[in-house]
Amino acid sequence: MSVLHLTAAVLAATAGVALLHGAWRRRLPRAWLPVPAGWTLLGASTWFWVAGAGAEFGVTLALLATSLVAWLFVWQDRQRRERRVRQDTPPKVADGRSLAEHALLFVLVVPLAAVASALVSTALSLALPVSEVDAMVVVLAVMPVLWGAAAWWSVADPRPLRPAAALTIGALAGAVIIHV
Amino acid sequence: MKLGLSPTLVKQSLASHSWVGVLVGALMYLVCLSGTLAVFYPEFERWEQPDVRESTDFDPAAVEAAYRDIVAGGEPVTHHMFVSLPTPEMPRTSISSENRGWFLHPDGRLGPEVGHDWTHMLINLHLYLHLPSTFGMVVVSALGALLCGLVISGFLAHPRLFKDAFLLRLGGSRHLEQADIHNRLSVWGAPFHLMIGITGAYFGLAALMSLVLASAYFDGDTDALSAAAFGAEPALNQAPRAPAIARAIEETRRVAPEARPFYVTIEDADVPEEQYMIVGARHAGRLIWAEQYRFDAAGNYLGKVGFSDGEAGRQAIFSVYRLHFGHFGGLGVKLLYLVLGLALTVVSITGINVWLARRRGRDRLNDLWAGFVWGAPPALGLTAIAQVLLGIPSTAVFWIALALAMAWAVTIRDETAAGRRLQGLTAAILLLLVAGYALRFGADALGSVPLAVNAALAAAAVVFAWAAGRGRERPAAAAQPTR
Repeated sequence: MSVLHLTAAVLAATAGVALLHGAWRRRLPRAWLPVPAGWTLLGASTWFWVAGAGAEFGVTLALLATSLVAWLFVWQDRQRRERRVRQDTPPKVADGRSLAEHALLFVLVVPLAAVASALVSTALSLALPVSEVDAMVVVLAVMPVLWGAAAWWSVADPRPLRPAAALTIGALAGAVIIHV
Repeated sequence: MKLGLSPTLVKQSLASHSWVGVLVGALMYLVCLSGTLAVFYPEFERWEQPDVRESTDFDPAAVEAAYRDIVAGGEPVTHHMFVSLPTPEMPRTSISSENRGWFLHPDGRLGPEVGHDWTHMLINLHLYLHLPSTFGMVVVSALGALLCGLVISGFLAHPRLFKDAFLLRLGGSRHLEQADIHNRLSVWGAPFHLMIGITGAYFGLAALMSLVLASAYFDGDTDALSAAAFGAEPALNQAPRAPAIARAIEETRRVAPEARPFYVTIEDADVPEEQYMIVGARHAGRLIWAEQYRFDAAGNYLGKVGFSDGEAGRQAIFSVYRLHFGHFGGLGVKLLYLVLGLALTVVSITGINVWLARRRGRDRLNDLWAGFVWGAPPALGLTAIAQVLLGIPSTAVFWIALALAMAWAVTIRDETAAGRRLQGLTAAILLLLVAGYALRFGADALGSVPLAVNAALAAAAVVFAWAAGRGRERPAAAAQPTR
């Protein structure tokens, strides 16, 4: 990657993050212009990364470098406060679930969500108009995200039987589609 | 700017994020810490054996002769035999069976036996958490999937995502401080976290998923799936002979002059009639680990698999490794991964810290957590002293040291003091490691890579010492009262 591309990519990312920072921290007068301009500059930064390092390395580096630039702005903008000393009180029980309910959630979040996401993502992939290998790779990329989403829903839903039923039905439907 | 999320959804997402985070936080911390260090495993391997002679040049004929010498010397030929060719990153040539291996001197003579036990301990902590490998890899891969879920629930739990994107309040209430650190590192690091989660899940789940995918696409035939994804094994019935490694390397250079061979695997090496060779070659500017060029035992070219120019899926499969470990783009990318990996490690810690702070009180869990978090760095330092300097197997050392740190933290009942003292202990152990290393290896410790690793260890010791001293300067501000 040439120094020119690297410099342009970093400068564009820094300028883009600076505009977002100014807008979201309300240090710029009109928030509607800096925000799209900031995102546009981040897009330009990605373009410079890709032009300098190729599509595969470039996109990866653009995403990772933007994180670093943003953290520098976060650190530069930090606020210091007097530490408040915590009182010595017994822990308040924040979660009123019983041990059995926790066990049920574990079953939902780990094995059931895993099986359901595996079967549903594979069943859905059969409808993709791509080769077998490409479809399988899509499944391998989507399945963990689907598992994570199912885990979130399983715990977030105040009625855990709802996600339990949906995941079970999804898994069964997926299994039928795959094997029929 | 606010995201249009209902208060109920935000509250439920926060509860979900908290529950899943507490479920996986401790294991995630160990995986992230060891993974961040494992980015530098080639450097650690070179540091662990600094007396191996290095060169990026090699003579294919000498490599083949050394292979024959090893087999003639009585080393059992295993199903796979491996030849690692030198690269700028790892300028060492080695020949290994599935059980052990030897380095080659630049002139082709056999050198010392390969011994990267400490680095393997570190990598195995990251890959398996030192559990039995198949089970451990599934556990770690599940953490990858749940990391994806934490990214999703984290975004849904944060209604002022953009407005607060640059807000960092240090000091004040511990809950607010830890939440700000957690959220700022998480929001801006989300692309990296998702990438690490998805690619990390791939390593362990691919084997399990192959059963489901084989049912969907290949009538349950996992061999057919493997052939479609990684290329079918060539069907050979040839006269037994020693593998013509040199010819295979030269042929690779001829058919792919743009590629750089960096390993040779002899497949089915224990079945001479069927054995064939794979020459793995790096293609500049590509994320793929390697393109694989295949040869029969006589070195006749059979074709390539197509990881460099085949189906997109096949290219993607072979790009996962380098993407996950940051092994592309040289030292700059590795340092980037170091920062991002440490940030994810801090996210794991602060997530639990937020949960502990929200309990509005403290008990032994606080002490155990402090001992766990700040006990892991000195435990890793001790493993290096044990394994690299004294030759003592280090896996048990790690877990015993970690358990002792946790037990000690519980006995002193002051998580801040426990953290501070363990930070000081880490600094002392790292300095002891560097000094012991210099004594143990003498002039070999002055090679470029050993010197760089030792300088990094010394710098880390300074940071830990500074952190320990910094905590001592303001006891009233940070102290947590004991029961």
